[in-house]
Amino acid sequence: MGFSTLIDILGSTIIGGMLLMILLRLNDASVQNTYVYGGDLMVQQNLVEVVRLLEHDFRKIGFCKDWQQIPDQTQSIIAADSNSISFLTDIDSDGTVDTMKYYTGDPSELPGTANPRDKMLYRVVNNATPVGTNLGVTQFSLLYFNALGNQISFPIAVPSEIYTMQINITVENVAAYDNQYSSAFWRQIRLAARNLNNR
Amino acid sequence: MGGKASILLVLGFSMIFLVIGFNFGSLSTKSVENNIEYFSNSKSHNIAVSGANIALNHLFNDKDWDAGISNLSFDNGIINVTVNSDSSYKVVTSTGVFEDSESQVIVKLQPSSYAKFAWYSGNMSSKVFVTGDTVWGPFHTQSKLNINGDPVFWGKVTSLKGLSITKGNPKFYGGYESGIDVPLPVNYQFTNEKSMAIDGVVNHGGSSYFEGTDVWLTFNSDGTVTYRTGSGSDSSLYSAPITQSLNAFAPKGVIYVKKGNIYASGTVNGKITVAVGESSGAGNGNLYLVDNLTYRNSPMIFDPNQNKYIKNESCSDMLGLLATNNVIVANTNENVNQKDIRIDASIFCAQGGFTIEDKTIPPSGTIFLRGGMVAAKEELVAQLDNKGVVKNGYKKHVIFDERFMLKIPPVFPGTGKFEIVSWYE
Repeated sequence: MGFSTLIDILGSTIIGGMLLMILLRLNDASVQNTYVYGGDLMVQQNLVEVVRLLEHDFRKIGFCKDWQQIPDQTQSIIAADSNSISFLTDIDSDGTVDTMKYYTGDPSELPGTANPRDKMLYRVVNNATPVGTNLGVTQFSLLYFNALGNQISFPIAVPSEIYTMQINITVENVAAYDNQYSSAFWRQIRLAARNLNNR
Repeated sequence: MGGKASILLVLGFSMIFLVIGFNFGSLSTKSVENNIEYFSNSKSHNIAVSGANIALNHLFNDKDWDAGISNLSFDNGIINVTVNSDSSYKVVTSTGVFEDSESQVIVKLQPSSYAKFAWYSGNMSSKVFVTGDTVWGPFHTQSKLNINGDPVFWGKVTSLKGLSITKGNPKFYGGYESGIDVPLPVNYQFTNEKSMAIDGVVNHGGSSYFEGTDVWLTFNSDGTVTYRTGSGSDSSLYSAPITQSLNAFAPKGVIYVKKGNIYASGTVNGKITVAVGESSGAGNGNLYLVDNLTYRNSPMIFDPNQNKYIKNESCSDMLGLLATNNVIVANTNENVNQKDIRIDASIFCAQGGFTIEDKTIPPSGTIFLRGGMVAAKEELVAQLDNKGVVKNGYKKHVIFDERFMLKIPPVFPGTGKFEIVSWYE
């Protein structure tokens, strides 16, 4: 009796332990998957937001509601580099020319995030204080092409030579479960801001 | 007891799996929704852009087209386009709808003028741009653009028949497009200019319309103009000079000579267009530049900080020189033998080109043109020896007067087409 009871207790402890282990593993897997899939979703959403913003702004390079403020729109790009660009636009369609600059900061500006690669993407209008958002951008690179389709080498001395541009963006999680960062990549192969070619 | 526990266990696990499954399903749904929303937005935007391009094609073929497009099915979406016009502009509004997403493209167009070209050539003939050639401002040719080297074009370049690069790496700092048709009409007549000049004479007391005579015009910096009528290049044989204020002489801003030639020089104070039209052969319909013909102030000044020429806001004078045949640098003492000639104007040669009267003259300095040059033909102003040095004629230094991108001399010829000046999307 005593031995049988001991076996019962031992058996149920083992079975209970196994069930508990399964439950804990289930919980762990559930948490991991929730983080990973939730992270994937956030990365995708952040990427789409960044892309929408860039498309919205870059398509308006050289645009002004009062077009006479920028009569020669080929001069609309003020400066361009591999990870920054500044240009003339009319951000709120009020007929006043604005300058806009996009650039990325250094990863060291974000010591509070677990991801060592993410950096701020700055969008500066006119002379406003640079305010960036951390959407997990780890790559924001620009390539420029002239009217004949040839890539323009850096540094770009004459920004008006830019006819089209290629935009590469990578977004990652700012934090991830077990350092397994999700990433999403987007490339606009040739973005041609229409106003650059108007006249 | 064991059965109940098992049921509770199964129910518990089922509940946990349901919650987790729902959570993951929700994540997937949101991800797909996010994807679809971006796709829909992009698609509606592309449909709207397509609608704008379709409408613009209609407008470029028929400048009076204003029917618009209503509920056109396109790429699983809908296009609606409206065209609104006033005296100065046309506005094309294209709306693209795809699923629940809607995008709009607004394009503004204005009548295009030839004055916007720094250099327009109906026929480049065998002209080849080589290393060292620089064109400041917009350039267009109805023929093929020939390149053999590394020329630099600072404005937008367009050509009807494309580009032919023998070798080299041309720099198009304002972009390049081929297949652009901006023709100079055959036998172009300065009808509007003539009407304005006659209107100025008949209704406003002017005297700037002439027929069957040559006219010697000297613009004075005090806002007057001195003119004489006669024949040929010897001004001593002309009538006594008459000096009038430019506004009184040409109240509509146009001087017109029918079947004659014009000999012009001086300093322009005001806005004026000088036209010589309705020629009856190469012997008339020409405008001779007998000396410098400039504004009071330079229209473009070099900014060393920007390393380029910029508009001089203090210059308000404006001159258009229109000739049925040629605009010619005259063979005068003031022009020949290392004496530069300076011209501030937008020049338009309907059937001829910009040339020199005597192609055998010795090297005579440089033609400094600050304005623009529109010509049916590409004429020579210099002949080079086999080392590329000028042996006859002039060097050429042309700077586009960027004010012509916005304002033009009175009644300067238009292309008869519209150009896009603003594209909102």
